[in-house]
Amino acid sequence: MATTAPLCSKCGSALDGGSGDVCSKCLLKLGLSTRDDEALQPGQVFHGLEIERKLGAGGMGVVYKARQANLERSVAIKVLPRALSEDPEFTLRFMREARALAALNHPNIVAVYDFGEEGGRYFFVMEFVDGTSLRPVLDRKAMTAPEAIKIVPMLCDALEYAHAEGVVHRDIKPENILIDKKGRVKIADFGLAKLLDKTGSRQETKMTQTNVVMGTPHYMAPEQYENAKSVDHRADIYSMGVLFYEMLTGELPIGRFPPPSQRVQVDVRLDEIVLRALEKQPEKRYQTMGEVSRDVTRVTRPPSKRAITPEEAKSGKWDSIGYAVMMVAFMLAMAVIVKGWPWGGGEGGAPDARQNGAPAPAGKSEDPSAEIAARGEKLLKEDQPSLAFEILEKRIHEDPENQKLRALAVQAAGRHLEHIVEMQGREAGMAWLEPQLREKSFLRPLAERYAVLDTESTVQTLFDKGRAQSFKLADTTRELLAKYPQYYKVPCAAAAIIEKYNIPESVLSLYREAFKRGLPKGDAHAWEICLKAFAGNKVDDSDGKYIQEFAREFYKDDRVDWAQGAVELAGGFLYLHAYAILKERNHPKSKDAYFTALANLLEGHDSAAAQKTVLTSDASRRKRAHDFLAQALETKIVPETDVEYLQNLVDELAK
Amino acid sequence: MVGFETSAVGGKGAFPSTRWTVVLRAKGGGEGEGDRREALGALIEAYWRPLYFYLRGTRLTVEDAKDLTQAFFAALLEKDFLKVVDREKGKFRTFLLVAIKHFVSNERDKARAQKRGGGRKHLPLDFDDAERNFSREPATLETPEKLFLRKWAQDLSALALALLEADFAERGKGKLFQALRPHLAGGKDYEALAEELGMSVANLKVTVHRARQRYAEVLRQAVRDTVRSDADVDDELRELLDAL
Repeated sequence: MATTAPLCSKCGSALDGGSGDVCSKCLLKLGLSTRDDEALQPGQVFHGLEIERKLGAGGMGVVYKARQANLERSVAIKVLPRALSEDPEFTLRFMREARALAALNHPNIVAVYDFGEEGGRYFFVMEFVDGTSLRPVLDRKAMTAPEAIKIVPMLCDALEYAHAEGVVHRDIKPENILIDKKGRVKIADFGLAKLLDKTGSRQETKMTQTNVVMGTPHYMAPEQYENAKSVDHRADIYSMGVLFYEMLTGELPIGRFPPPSQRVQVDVRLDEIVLRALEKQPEKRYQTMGEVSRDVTRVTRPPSKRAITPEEAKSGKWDSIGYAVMMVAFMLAMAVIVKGWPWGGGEGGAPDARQNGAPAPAGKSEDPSAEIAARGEKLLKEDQPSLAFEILEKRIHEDPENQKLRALAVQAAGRHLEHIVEMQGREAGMAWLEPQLREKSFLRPLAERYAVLDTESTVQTLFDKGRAQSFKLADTTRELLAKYPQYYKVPCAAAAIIEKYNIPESVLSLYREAFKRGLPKGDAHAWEICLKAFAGNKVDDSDGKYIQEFAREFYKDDRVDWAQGAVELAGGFLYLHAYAILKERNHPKSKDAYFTALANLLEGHDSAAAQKTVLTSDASRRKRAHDFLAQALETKIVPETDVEYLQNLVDELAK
Repeated sequence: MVGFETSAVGGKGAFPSTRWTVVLRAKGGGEGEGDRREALGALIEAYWRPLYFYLRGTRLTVEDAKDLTQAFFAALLEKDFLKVVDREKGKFRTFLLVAIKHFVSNERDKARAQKRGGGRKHLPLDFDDAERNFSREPATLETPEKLFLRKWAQDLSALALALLEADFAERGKGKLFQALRPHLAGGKDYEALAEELGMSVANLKVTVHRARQRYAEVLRQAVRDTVRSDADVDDELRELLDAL
């Protein structure tokens, strides 16, 4: 009909989905915070700096690590979204604000070395902080209350300094608090929220209120929502209150939240500080950061003079010892978070971990292995598996056949591994474990865990990479099964991940493989997930023998109800198998089970299977089915639409 | 767990509630049955077309695809299958796709077993329009998933545009919006338009720039509502762009 299709006013391609004058592609591109063609590539020189790698991206632009050759130092470059340069008003604002930011000079504030515009892109050159943000630390609940109490005053001091310089941060949140490898905290992105916020321009205030893209609602002061223009330094005090609450409790103060001391064991005086910072009205809040800092510091001081050991007295104040010990512990916790940290005695600055470990027993022991084992056990109890592993491993070198040491070392290594996996992910865990397994034969029991991690990571990566990769699922699982032929946990692990993506055929076949490999009866967890997979998916007749196995395992008296519930999910088919077992055991519920199974089958969508099962069973079963169905028809529990069908079945059974 | 309550901060009628908020309300977390129905209505309105495209892509006839789309949403209205939706698990888009797949396979089995009676409620969905739209799709061997994804991307860009339009209209600037619209993605020929609108070119540039930024915000918010976290917005946009 129409000879000229409407074209996109931007790219000239034919219009699609009916968005008017612009095609969907051009419209969606507007939403990207950084377009791919804007990205700086490693090796590229930008403003005289050699780009090394991208560190991260967000609504406020992309951050790269770069090398400043003449000063032989690493720097971070933050490149703001290109779209900004299209705003003629932005240039002025940028220059004005950037100057104020570059003037800030404080040990707990990320320094701005330079700023400017190049090729239409505005950027800041900043101090490179080799570490992590507070976000992963909080997400992994890796911060203790004493650590929080030590960090908060430093942050407060930095903010107080900035406020005195007339700079309000406006976006205090864990992502903007950086911690370097020496445990120093630094606040990043000062004032960027204001710079990038469109509230600076007139008329658009309403728009900013819905602007959740830039801000971080949970940490924002109430007045920031209401009228972002009139925000002053007290908004930072509120955000600091949210952050402090989260650092102490691991939770955000949302809705009607309990004071920190009700969530974790902390000094009740902290409740008052946090709640006062979180006052909804700025006037009721702390008025300066200095007050917050002062009150927090007061709480950290010991309530009364306690006995101080002569050593402590000699080396200085109690506080500084407490702080040092705390920082060592904190940095050890951080070590597992920051990749590549030279923990455990690498070059440069890593503390000797053992000084914080358990002291050796006072009396001289005749058996050094027993002594090390005791220390190892103690460290394990204190949840310091990496230290435990270190001493145990050393001792095993001297005393290789000591079974107790070996068992403890496996336990310690296993727990340390789980720490790494939890904090840094499976790949990091594998990277740690792989050389250990190669070099230390006593760690062989962990080989299975390695296989599982490898399986999980490989399969997950497939899905993470998107559809194209996930087509390779069958090949990949086959390869994994061949690579680790001996472990039943390998198919289970793959299945547990695939299950999330709803690919029942693969899941079932993997569990079948697990059965073939001899799923041990003792592994209740594996059994449970297998059963759920079978119950949740359609099974065929060949699965009958596995299901019988399940039923045997689970229809032990104390699990009858649970198993019935799980089995019912499958709509009856499994139930018939379960029934056989119940009957074997002479279980009082067997009759109910059978009837329920039938009812489920007939109710559900598998009536063909039901019919086949019932009609091909033995005489006594047919008789029972007949009686049940006849009875069911009489009591009118059967839906009307099914009556005719059931009547036929009854007649058939009566033959 | 906690969704952004855009509706709480947006002006009246200026912004729809966020999708996840709607889902939560549709799950029955809101103020009673009326609220739940209304929330479901909003969900259906926003997402039925990609699902219809998906069904058509599975080689179903127009009639069957219509029936199944109706049936799917009828089931959504009657049954509790939103109960299993969990924001933490990921994208709403993926949830819907998995749900429709399950639904179709269940329906097929039911049909195989026996025909059951019972009239279904019919929702006022404009299939004719959707079908015209569908038949415009290039007749390639696209997978139904791809069709779903593409329609999703198109609807999303259009949804954000409609929201922006409503936003302008509410401020009495509906006409201005119509004039800016062709310039949203990339401006050209500012002089003529500036003259037409009676403003300076510089002023027009600022106005276009703001509209563009605003569009980006609205769009990102719309995407944000269907994914797990802020960090996922760019990835989702890229995935949608790839589909187009």
